[in-house]
Amino acid sequence: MSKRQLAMVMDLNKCIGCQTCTVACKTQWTNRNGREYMYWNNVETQPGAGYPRNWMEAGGGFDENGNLKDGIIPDMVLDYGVPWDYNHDELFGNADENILSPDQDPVWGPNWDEDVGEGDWPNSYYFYLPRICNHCSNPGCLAACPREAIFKREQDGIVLVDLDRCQGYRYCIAGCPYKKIYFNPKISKSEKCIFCFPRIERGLPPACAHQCVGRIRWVGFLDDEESQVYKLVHKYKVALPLRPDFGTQPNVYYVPPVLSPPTFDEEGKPIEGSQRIPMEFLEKLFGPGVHHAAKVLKEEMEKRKRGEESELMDILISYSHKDMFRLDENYYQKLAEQQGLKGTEFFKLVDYRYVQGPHTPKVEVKAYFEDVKEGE
Amino acid sequence: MKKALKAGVIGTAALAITAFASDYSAFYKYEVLNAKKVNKDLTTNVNDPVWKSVQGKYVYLYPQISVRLNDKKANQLIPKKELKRALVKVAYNNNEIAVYVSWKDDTPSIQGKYDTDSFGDGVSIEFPNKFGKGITLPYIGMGDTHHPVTVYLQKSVAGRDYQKVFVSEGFGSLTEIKEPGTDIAMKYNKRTHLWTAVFVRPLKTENSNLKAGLVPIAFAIWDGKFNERDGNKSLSRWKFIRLQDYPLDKEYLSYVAWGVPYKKLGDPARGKQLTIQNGCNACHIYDDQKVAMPGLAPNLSDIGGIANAPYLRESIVNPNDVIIRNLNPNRHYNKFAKPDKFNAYPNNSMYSWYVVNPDGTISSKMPPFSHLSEKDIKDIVAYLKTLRDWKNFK
Repeated sequence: MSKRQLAMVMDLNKCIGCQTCTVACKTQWTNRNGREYMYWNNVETQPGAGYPRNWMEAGGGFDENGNLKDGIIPDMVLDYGVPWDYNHDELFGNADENILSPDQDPVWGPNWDEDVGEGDWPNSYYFYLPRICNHCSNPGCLAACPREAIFKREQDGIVLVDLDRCQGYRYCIAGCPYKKIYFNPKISKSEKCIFCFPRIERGLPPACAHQCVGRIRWVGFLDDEESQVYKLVHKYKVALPLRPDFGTQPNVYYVPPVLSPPTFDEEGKPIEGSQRIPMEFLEKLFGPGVHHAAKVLKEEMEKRKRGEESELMDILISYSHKDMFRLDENYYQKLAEQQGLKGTEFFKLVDYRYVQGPHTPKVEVKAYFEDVKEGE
Repeated sequence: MKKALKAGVIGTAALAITAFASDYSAFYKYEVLNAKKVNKDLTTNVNDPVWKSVQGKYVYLYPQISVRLNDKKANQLIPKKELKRALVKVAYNNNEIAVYVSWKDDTPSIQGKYDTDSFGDGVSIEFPNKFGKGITLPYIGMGDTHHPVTVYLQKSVAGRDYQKVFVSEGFGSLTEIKEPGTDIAMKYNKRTHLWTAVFVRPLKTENSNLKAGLVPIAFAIWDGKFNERDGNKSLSRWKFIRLQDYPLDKEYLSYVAWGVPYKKLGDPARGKQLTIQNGCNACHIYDDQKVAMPGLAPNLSDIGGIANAPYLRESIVNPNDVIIRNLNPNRHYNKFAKPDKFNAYPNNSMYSWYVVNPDGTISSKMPPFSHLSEKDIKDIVAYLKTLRDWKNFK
């Protein structure tokens, strides 16, 4: 639907679950104004219930014929987890009389089941799954909105909510099979990961990708054959979409954790050629492409071990941010130039839809972007 | 439901004795709200003594199932809904009109301050932006491409006065506007279990002029208990406010009063056969006719409660007059088409309710059935008016 498509690749073999991405996102966007409970970026443990709780069973997405499926809206307390504070003020200078306690009685929260995983010792297993909005090619949220308030940007496929049109009906939440769009009760509108578009347009990657200490995230345009994103997704086919069976054609791709440690036999000896995370589980999450991805990854790894060249391994080592984040340098600046936008007018490129929807004849763009001339 | 039918039956019985082609007594009795002229300022105070002197009338509201939304829990609750009844009163002075709406709700719901899945009770009224001689009725669900409407909404949301005014031309086109001089209030009475709302607006605004003898108005009520919001609601058909101060156009009266009472209009059993013979069931789901694919066309299972007879007639004879932009066309994509380079599939045009012509105009996908005889049309409309079932919604 869009002319171009930005995408992100995350290498799950390298994710250590440190939540730096989560914090980068939260401090940038969601620590205020009714968004406190939201995690536009979260890192969950799989196998696990995830965030929000049991999101994979909460419906949405499309059936095999391309029809939108019904879904549910997760509950603040039971599924997302209500944010809480501690009684620090009370405790200060009074530690003998008071104990540290939260001001809520939480029953669930993001990472409630962190590191639980599955399987019995010594063959228990889990891995970390960082999740942001997938900026899908056929977004379930966009399809579900009766207000048609959700749009996919022509210039890069980023999916955004037009907050002027959004009326807080929450069908988008039911429609998104990843439950990555959230209801902001304070403004009674839906909000979601914006792929840090104000950063992207200035040539910076999203905060979650930039801050990642394990350097597991690549960002680039899917049709840019020079980008490492393109190479991981299309050239080597080692990066796969999450739950492709949901039918929304997600644009966040994962290098599946197929390089897990071996299982142990009854005597505690490692079983040659085995791996801790079952392929069936990975196939459920990332589709049948995991087998090909596993084969390529192992082959390329062997190649490198033999001292041979491997472009794929070089990419996965993430030598430099400059190569990992290829935002076509001046792509957006060129678009702005084509439209004759100068200086701060640059933001018009983004914001037209926020100001004027397809059915808003009465709103004048001028109200937001008045041309103030010098000396008037 | 029972009460509505009973009222209809009584009406028919009374009319059997006196009814003539030009007799509008049933129309006046059931479809017209007599507004009272007052010589004082109108306020949104629900306890304003003025309402004690205004005679009210009951309006029935039916659960909306013409289009199906995608909230699983809300959909499961639809068959559990009951017919809603609201007491409506209208007053006006030289410049303003006030509409009083009161309905029973044993479980007042307020949208939570910090909650994701609670929904507040609410109420709205709508007026067509243009009406009168020669102008057909808009689609009841917030207007259509040829008939913009103004919608006034009040919801109970914790911590704020959630009132809005919109202009709309059908699904997806609702656009918020600021209308000077308009105010809404909504209060719950814990003793009587009644919600009461009062809407006050100028008779004449930038978008519409209500200074006319007969003003169409429609009502919608949202019950938070059933997760209602947006199209998930109960709605009335078009009712008509009689403003004595302004001249009544006879032609318009005869147009909007056509088919009232519907039980005198024709033979519903024959009408049903005609709908099957003419293939209505190929696209529409209604009654026991369930072969059409869901979403292909509006579900007509309770169309009888929410659509006026002249609207139904117009939709059959000239569907292009009321083209409804169907709910978000992205809800169905064509899995059998070739996806683009980013794997995006195009929308499935089969589910679109209109076609875009080469000159940019749009036409309804429903062909006109203007070749039907007057009797056939009357029988079909008489049948459609009997359809008032949402209990079997799936």
